[in-house]
Amino acid sequence: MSQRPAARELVFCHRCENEWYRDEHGLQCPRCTSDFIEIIDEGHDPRDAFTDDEGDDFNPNRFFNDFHHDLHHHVHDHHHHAHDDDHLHTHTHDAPDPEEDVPNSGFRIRPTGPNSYSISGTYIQPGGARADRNVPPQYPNADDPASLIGTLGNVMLGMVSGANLTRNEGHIGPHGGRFTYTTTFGVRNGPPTQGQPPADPQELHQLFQQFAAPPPPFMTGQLRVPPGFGLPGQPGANRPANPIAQLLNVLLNQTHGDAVYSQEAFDRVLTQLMEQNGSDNAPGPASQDAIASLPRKKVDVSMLDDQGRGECSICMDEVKIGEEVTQLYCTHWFHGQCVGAWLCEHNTCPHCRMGIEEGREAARNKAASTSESNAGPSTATSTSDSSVASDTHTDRDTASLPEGNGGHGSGGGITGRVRSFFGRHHSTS
Amino acid sequence: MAKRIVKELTDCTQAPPTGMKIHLLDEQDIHQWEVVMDGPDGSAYAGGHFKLRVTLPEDYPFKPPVLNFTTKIYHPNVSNDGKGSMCLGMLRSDEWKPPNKIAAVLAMARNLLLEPNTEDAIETTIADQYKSDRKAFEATAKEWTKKYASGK
Repeated sequence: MSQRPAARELVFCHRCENEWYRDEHGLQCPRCTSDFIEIIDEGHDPRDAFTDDEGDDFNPNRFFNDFHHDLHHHVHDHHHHAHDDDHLHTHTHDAPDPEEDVPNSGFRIRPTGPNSYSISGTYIQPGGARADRNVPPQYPNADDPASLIGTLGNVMLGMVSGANLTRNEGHIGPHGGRFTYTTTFGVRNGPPTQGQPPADPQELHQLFQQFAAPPPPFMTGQLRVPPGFGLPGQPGANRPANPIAQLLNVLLNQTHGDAVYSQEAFDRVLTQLMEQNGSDNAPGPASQDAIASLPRKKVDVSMLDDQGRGECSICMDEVKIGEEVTQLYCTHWFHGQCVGAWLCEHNTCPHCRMGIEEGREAARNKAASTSESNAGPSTATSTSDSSVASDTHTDRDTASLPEGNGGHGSGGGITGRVRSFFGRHHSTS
Repeated sequence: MAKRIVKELTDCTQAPPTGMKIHLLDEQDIHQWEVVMDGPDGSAYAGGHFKLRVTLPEDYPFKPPVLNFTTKIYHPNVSNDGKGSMCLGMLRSDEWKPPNKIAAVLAMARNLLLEPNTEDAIETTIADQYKSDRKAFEATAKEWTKKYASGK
């Protein structure tokens, strides 16, 4: 997972909101086959529009429940900040040590009138006065305070769905590396949304008051209490736990339920899904450069079997003498297109699983030590088996494998030979 | 890669792997194969005819096929949950290699009937029984074979 191609295009389906990589499923939605799709661009992310729209059918109960179970974890880490003042300092959740952690953004919610509240977020630009350490440069929202506070705005809209809110977005003003972004909510009475009970403005006020108030100390203790078990008589006691913690959680994780609000969070979800699919040990993709720079050669007699036949072991199409194929440093060869499709996802030989980078190194070392610039792949061909020969060999192996379903690297023999040929150990996963 | 699948299918129907009959579940869909696997002689499954489904992903051979026993079978490496998922090391996404052929996968599966892999069991209780009380295991496996796999 260490390497990723520099620009993998992510495609978004406007019909079913599916997302996928273009190089995997092309330009048609693999789920609903719609072609109303868009390639997600850094400057314009169509998913933003959807997250806004979804505020309408946001279910606050689900929101609360979704979050409750990880609340105490976060607040455990953060309550000492929360007590400081009425600012809530958020900091990056990945930081190895909370004590070392420098808050890189903060927000506060306060009433600005009888019916309105504002959320303002202060964000310190990496490289600015206070951001001298612990600001991960890859944090996608680090350059976008609007998105951070906008997220909060969405959350607020979602939590009070059923009420009419107006949202005025403030401006961002740079002050020596500090940016403040303000979102204002006005609460007013309106017709109830169909299918949902009308929200009581009083209740909203209460809720917002809760946000606006500094978190009382008892809240940290209360966070372990499941929803509905709050102490009676306290404002919002029947609401699950600490709403501020929930906001914190959203800001820190940039996610609630199935929705994510940042590329980082999306990547994390994607990675998690990939891991759940069992590819946790699978090697990462090879870079486009590495793929493009693989040696090509024309098929010659030595690459064919006894009957003068040979095939690409990926597509199983027959190859003819003179046809151009791509040969990896482990000497296994394939159609360039076939092996390219595999290498886009795994940087190993499809046959023996030797890393293509290691192979290149080994080939270089070999070339250097023997002072033969062309020593690597081409001379290796005659000593190592061709793909076809080894292919049939593998089949025989697997069909009559004595130790049952070993299954673990059935090409071990070949790998071993390649390894000993290059005189070094390769671990491929 | 439809061409490769057709080629593999042709090979498999013309020269089927030992103890197997292979055909498409639906003539229109080359990604769903049905296999009838004879229980290997000398195993508790001998005499049984086990149906398997081989599902090839859209991006086969870059992704591994999926194997399911549609006939109920008492085996440590086949899930007893109505899905009949078979866990083969070589089918795990981090083990899979495109040059592997379906015939080889099926041969491996049949070999697993002969020698269950208790280290990588999906049904751990069956695996434990296989290790600790082979007789009881074989009795149940034979009983299930007779009950579920003796038909055509």
